[in-house]
This record gives sequence, C-alpha cells and structure tokens, in this order.
Amino acid sequence: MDLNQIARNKQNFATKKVGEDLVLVPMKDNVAEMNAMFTLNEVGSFVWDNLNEESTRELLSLAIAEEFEVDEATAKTDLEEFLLQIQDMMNG
Amino acid sequence: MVNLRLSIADFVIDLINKSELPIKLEDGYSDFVLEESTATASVQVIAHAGIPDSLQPATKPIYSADFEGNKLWEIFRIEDGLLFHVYSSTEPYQLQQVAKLNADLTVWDIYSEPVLDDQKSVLFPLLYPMGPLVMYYLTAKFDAIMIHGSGISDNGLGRIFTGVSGQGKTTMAKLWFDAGAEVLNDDRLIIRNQNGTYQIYNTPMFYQDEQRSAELKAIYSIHHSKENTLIKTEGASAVAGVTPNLIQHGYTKDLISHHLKFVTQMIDTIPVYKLGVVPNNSVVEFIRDYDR
Repeated sequence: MDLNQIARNKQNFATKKVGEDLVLVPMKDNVAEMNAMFTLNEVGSFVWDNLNEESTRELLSLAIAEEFEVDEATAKTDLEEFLLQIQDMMNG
Repeated sequence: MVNLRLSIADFVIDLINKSELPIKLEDGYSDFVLEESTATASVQVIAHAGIPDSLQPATKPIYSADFEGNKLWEIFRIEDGLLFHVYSSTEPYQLQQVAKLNADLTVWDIYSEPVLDDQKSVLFPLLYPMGPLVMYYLTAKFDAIMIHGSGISDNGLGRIFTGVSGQGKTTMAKLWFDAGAEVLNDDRLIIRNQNGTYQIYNTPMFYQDEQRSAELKAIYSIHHSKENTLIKTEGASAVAGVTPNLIQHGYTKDLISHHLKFVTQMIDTIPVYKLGVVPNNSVVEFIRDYDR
C-alpha cells in the first residue's frame, strides 16, 4: 500500500483527538467497527494529519524532523513504523 | 394532545396517540410513566395504527441490525430524516412497525400493526426493539450515551462494569447485590452529562423495575483473570476501553463523533480501569479496598 492509497483511505475513518493521541475508528461498508478501534501516538497523529495525496516519504520525514526536533534518520524510522502500523490496520 | 408522558434517564418523552385504538406499553415501562409534569419533552412519539404502503423504502438500508440470525431492524435514509423497519423479536422477519424520525431527532412517527391484548385491539408503539431505538436516538441527540454494562450504586458511588459478552457483567451485578449494593441494571444503561457530573440511569426492560440512578464515579472494563487486578487507564487507552461497549449505530461519522466526544470528555473526570476479575465476592472487597 503506497502513501497515496493510505491518504485516500483516510476518509474511511472517524477520528478523535484524545490528548496528544488520535483515536481512529474504521468504517467498513459505512458502518463503524468499534472493536477495531486504533490509537496513534503523537508522531502518528501528526503524520495522519499531514498525510495527503501529494505526500512523499521525504516530505513527511522532513516534517517530522522539524516538528519533533529529531534528526532525519530518526524521523524516517518513525515514519516507517507509522506506515507499517497503518497498513496493518487498513489491511486488517 | 399528549396521552402519556415517560421519564427515562430524566428525559421526558411524550406519547401522542393519533389512532382510535388505545396505546399500551410493556410492563417494564410502568415505573417510568410521569403522572404529573410540566417539563418540556425531549422527544415526541406519535403513534399511528397500521403500516401504510407509502412507507416502503426506495433505497437499500444504510444500517441493519441482526440478532442470532434474525433481522431486528433496518434503517433507511429519507429526504427529511430516517425511516426504520422494525421486526418482531419473537416472529422472525415479521414486520412489526415502521417509524420515521425527523432530521432533528426529536419527533418519531411510529406506525404499528394493532395487536390483541385482553381481546381488545391495541397499539404498542414502544414494543421491543422500538423502545430502545427511541432511547438510543435520545442519547444521540443530547449529551448522553447508552452502554452495555452492569451499573451499581455502592453507598451512593456509581460504578459501571462493562465488557464484551461473557466477561461477567451479570455476575458482577449479583456479587455487588450480595454485598449490599443497589443494582441499577445488569445489561443496558444510559450515562448523562449533567453539568459536569455524570449520572447513570437504568432504562425500561422487559421486566418491571423502578427508576434507578446514581452519580458515576468509575468505569471498569472487565475480563476474567486468575487474580483480581486493577489498572487505571488514561487518554486514548481509556477511550478504547469504553467505546467498543457503547450501544451504537455507527453508520455515520456524526454518530461516531458524538460517542467519541462524550467518552473523551467523560474520562477527564471519571476514571476508567481495566479490571481482572475472579468471579467471587473477593472482587467486591478488592475494589472497595482500592478506593479506601
């Protein structure tokens, strides 16, 4: 699943910010699956908010590095962890 | 003209009979009838006799509820609100009622087929599962939720034990009853935000019970365990511990957002715990000791 697919799938989730975290509720066939609720941490929440169909890995990594004041390697690792999590959930 | 007023979770529900037949309620509603009240109704239920052909849906349902293989109700979107086809809970696929709910979620028109009661034709506008549907949309309209759980009042401390089926909600209610607590209900509860405090209410069931309520002090998401354990959850984890057990028709993001918003606000003041339960009276003392 590439970034564009993930960005397009965002519309199939209801979301709610809880503190720094973001709760995601998947909607399947227009019905919420509350038991498949998913939580993103602060970094994941930031990526989710900034992810759109124009996004690239490079741009998102740079944005993470700037927002959380981490080096680019750390930002890339964080992004890949997020993408793995999110793909698991979307394929769920 | 209002024929009957109900008070459920301190919501006033007006029943207006537009038919020539008398309207009746299941026994579980008898203690929820308001004898005298000038309070403003939260919702109006207008009862009609017979199901008109004109209320056949033109589209596919947007939501369908089934229980043990039987259809309970279907929801259709219509121009000015929602249309419900409600099926008998005892005779599979027997259409029991058709109901329209306005877009503002404040007026129900419920068309019921007459039934014989003591050899007289009568209407049961809130016959299960119609009544719980009316209650659910009350909570969706206002600052409230419905939840599967056991609610108890332990010397005025309201506690809710929630979890998926089979994790011991009813057992917990019995254990607390044996320990002297009041059981509000062991299945379905309404929680309301009343100016920053959270109140638990029982709702009419198929059996008769009085109106019960208590101020909510803690929610416990329960699971079987070899020993009693209690872990306080925070933030998203607390939301995830409560929200899956809400009674919900999650066919729009608006409804989901309503539920998530309520729970997120509630956990700011009401602690949510993961409770591992040994199903005997030790768990009652375990929780009471924790609070001391």
